Order: sequence, then C-alpha cells, then structure tokens
Amino acid sequence: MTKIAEIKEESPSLNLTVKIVTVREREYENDKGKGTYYFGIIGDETGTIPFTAWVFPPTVRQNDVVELRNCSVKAYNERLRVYVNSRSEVVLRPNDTMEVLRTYVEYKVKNLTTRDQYVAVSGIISGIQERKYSKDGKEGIVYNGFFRDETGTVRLSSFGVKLKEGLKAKISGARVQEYRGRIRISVNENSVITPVEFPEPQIPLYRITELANGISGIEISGICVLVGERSGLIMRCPECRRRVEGDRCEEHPGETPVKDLYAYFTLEDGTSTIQVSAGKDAMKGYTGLDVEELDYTPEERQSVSEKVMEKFLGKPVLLLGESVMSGQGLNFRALEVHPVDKNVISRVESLMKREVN
Amino acid sequence: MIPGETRRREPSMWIFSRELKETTFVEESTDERVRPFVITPLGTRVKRILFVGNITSISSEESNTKAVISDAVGSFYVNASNREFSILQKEKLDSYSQGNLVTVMGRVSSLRTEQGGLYFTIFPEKIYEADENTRLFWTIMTSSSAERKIMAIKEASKLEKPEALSLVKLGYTREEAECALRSVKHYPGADLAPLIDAISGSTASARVSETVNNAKEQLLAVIRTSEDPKGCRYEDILSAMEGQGVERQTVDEALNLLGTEGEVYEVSLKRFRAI
Ligand SMILES: [Zn+2]
Repeated sequence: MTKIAEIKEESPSLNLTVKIVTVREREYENDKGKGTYYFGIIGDETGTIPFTAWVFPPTVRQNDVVELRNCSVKAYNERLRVYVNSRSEVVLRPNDTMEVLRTYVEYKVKNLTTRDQYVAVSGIISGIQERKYSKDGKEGIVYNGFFRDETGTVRLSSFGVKLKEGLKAKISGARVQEYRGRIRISVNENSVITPVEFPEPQIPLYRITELANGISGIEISGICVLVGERSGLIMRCPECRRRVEGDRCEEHPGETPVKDLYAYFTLEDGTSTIQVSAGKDAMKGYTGLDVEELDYTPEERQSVSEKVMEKFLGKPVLLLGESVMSGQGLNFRALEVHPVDKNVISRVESLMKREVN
Repeated sequence: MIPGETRRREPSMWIFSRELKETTFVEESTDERVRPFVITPLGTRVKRILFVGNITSISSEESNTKAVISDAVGSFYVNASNREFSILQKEKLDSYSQGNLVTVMGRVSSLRTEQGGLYFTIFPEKIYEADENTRLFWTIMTSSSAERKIMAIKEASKLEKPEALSLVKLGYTREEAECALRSVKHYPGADLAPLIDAISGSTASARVSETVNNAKEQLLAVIRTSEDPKGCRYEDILSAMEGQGVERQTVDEALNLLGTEGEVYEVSLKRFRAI
C-alpha cells in the first residue's frame, strides 16, 4: 500500500487505502456514448490528492473508506491526480475509519479558480460585518467581508466561525466559489485559520493580459481607444438597474427611474483589450460631473456626453476596480478612474520591471 | 464567420517604429479583401497598431495627407486619404501641425518593391491629441512589452523543441510565448542586437525629451517676464534657468524647440522674445 504523501510522480499502477473527502459526479458524452464520471479529493493520514474515477461504485459516499487497487497517477493541469479506470478495483471498507490529514494547495488570490474547490490562502481579513440568520429553525451568525493579498481581493464569508477584523491569516480549507462572475471564498468549521505575519500588501497593478478571474481590489492602466456612444447621463430602473429609454421600465412600470452617470469604454495597454464600465462615483472623481447636480435634459445630456468623450477618448488612465467574468469574457468595473500622471508612470515602470519569475 | 462565433475586435499592438521597420515577413492572405498580418522580428503578429509620437513632418494635399510621426527610436509613416472611409481621419490629421504630439491607432499596410524591399504605411483609424505623460506611458509600456518578448525569444532559442507551454511555465504569457515561437520560426538566426539596443534606450530617450518639454514652459516664462526692451539676453535666460536647476544643454534644446514651434523668435543675435 502506498501512502498519499509518498506520491511524488506519475505512476502507471499503485494501491491506496483512502477516505473519500469529497466526491462529485458529472455527465460526459463522447463518440462511445454518454456516461458519468466522479471526481473529488481522497485522503489518508499523510495528506490529500485530487482524483478522477471513470468507473466507480455508485454506492460509495463521502467519508467512506475504500481500497483503490491498480489505480494510476498522472499530472493534470500541473498537479498530480489519481485516476480510477476500468482496470482498477474499488473495494469498500465499511467498518474502517480514518483520520485524514487535510493538505491544501496554496493559492494567491489572483489565481483562485473553482477548479480547485478547497485551498489555502494567506492574506488580510477586512470589512467584516456580522449578520444573524436562521435556517431550518436554527439561529446562526454569518460574517461577510473581504480577503486581500498582494495579488487582489475576494469576498469572504463565514457561517459560524468568527472572523477577526484586520487579522493577517492563513486560511487552510477555504472553499472557492464563483458568484455572478466574481470569485469568493468561504470558511466553515473544518477550515483552519492561523495568524501569520507578512508586510502590508499594496494594491496590485496588472497588465490586461494577466487578468484571468473575477477579483477585486486591483488596478489596470491603458489608453481608452473607444468610448460607448451611450455613455453619459442616463435614466435607470431602480429595480432591475437597466437603462430606461422612455418614462418607465417596461418590466417595472411602478418604479420611478433614477438618474445615473456612467461610461462604457474599451481600454488597451498593448498586451490586450478589455471592456470597462465606470459608475457615477468613479465619474464624479475623474470628470467632476456630479449626477445629483445634473438635469436630465437633452442639452445637459449632450454636454455631459461631450465632456465624457473629452475626458476618456484617447486618454491614458489608471483604473481601480474589479474584473468580472461575463458571457462575453472578462470585463472591468472601475470604482476609481485616475489620469496617468508622474506617480502612475513610475508605478507602471516598476510593475514592468518585475522580472519574469 | 463560424456560426455562433462572435466577431472580436482585433486589439491594437503597441510596437516601436523600429520593430516595424525591420519586419520582413508578411503572412499570405487567403482573402484579397483582408489585409494580411505582418510578423515582426520580435514575433508580434500585427494588423492594427497604436503609438504615441511627435509629428515631424506633415504634408496635406487634397487627395491625401501624409505625416511622419516619430517615437523614441524612429518614425511611422502615416497616410490618410480623402476617400469616404478615411476622410474623417484626414481632416483630423490636417488639424495638427509639425511638433504636435498625437496618439494614432491604425492599420498596418505593407508594400513590397520590385527590389524586394518592404515598406509600411499606417492608415489611421483614430487620431487623438496626446501629451508628454501619454507619450512616456506608451513608451514605457511598449518597451517593457518588447523587452519581455526579447527575453522569451532568448529562452525559446535555447529549447531543442520550442513549445509555448514550456515558455508559459517560465512565467511568460501565452501571447509572449507565441511571439517568441513566431520570431524563432520566421527570423531564424536574425541578429536582433541593433533592435534590442534601440528599444532599451527608448525610455531614457523619451525621458530626455520630457525634460526638455518641461523646460520649455519655464523658459517661456523667463522670456515673457524679461523687461529688456531689446529682447531677453541668452546669458540672462541661462542664469535664470540654471537657477531653477535646468542644465545648459536642456536649455539649448528647449530654446531650439520653441524656435521651431514659433513660440519664440530671435530679435537679434542671442536676444529672444516670445510671440
Ligand atoms: Zn426594471
């Protein structure tokens, strides 16, 4: 029998006794027809490893102890993974129990993806707010806030486990999820939070090509090459947030539309391109236009439009905000827009000097 | 177009004029109406570029306007005709004059002469007024992007069987890795040293002219506040500027620039007045 900690390289055949830590199933379809495969994490006293099973007894459940005979180990996505296929044998050991040493791959916030569901991350816990909730007749507290390292920020939530504001911590066993195009993490009673020391992280500045996931608290810079014609002073339905062309939202005719100011533009930095939207606060800071002081008249809309074009079109800017995954790919929501001045230039210069590896 | 595929706008590449000038490879176009991609010595596959530069010469005729626009290491040749699709760009270009800083986004067009030489012209799609910060920002972004490609090319040429993944594992982006592979493929054994030297000096050169441009404003102020009826003496300008920490060489360059731009004229020998 091989122990998981002993698995260091690819192997065509080995035998393991493990506990099923997590297991999920998924349908697949290929030229031979449809089928179901299973994947998740297995573990023993020495560690954990992801697995994929093309053939698996459907009676096997989470927390069961099983013997895997003649399984193989291959690298997938640069990580070793155990494969159970038609040559392998899976034997359920219903009377056995096993303590699993959970090990998690350490991630930087920027690289978090839902492909790896449970991870270890190190960063600062901030913006924590408590909220009581009741579910299935039980009362509990949920803590919501943010988790930030030198590569970005994600939303953090915890059901039950208290989170300490401002704590620099390593969270082992944080769960990664994606919600509305943004990555978020959560902790539960199985996660381990240990205080760690590291220097205060700066807000990271990225080249557009480096953005991959929906994370916040990041900066990008570039030149605005196209500005959406509909940018400017608009009316929005307060319910669905959609732009209203007439007097009322077609779907929510009972709601009174509210004024909003926004810009929609294409930013390029020579490495790639991204669609950006900037809301009223960002617009106020950058253009000086305050939506509260503007009247929704054709003249005012026209002059706002011209001002937006003048401030954005062809101009270099630094944006603070978040990347959001949408159907069309990655977009950027700017919370702050700044002109490129000497300070920005020196930040860009030091970012660019960052060595390859 | 493949059904279901949404048409993506081709993003602009940021490259120096020198990288384009040394390009010898143009992809074959399968469709005559579609302009082919060119592949530069650094492997950049480009059809649309964006650059920030100084208009060093501009000549406007009814049928077209030609401009030479220089970046830190050379010049781009821009041509806007009065045909329907480009008339707006021609008008825009006509509104600028020599010495203006502009940002140009445009399509790269190549022409091969009978002798085999390859010449590139930029057909502008967008022209914006630029300033010193825009130029310095563009220069830094462009030179660092070129430097990363150069490093990737060096790595790729060390590999026995160059593959994008091996370069990505070293920390290069997918695009940089592919540029390196294209460079190795289309410019085998090419001597990139002169291009590399030019690019590595680009930021410094953009900074020098930035210093000069800053000095211009100070210098103009000095000349304007001079009460000498015969014009401000060169020696007085120099001592005022040196008092503000500006070196003599910078003063001379700024003075030349102001002369070319018509902001300042020489009343008599070594005496200056602002317009
Ligand atoms: Zn609505």
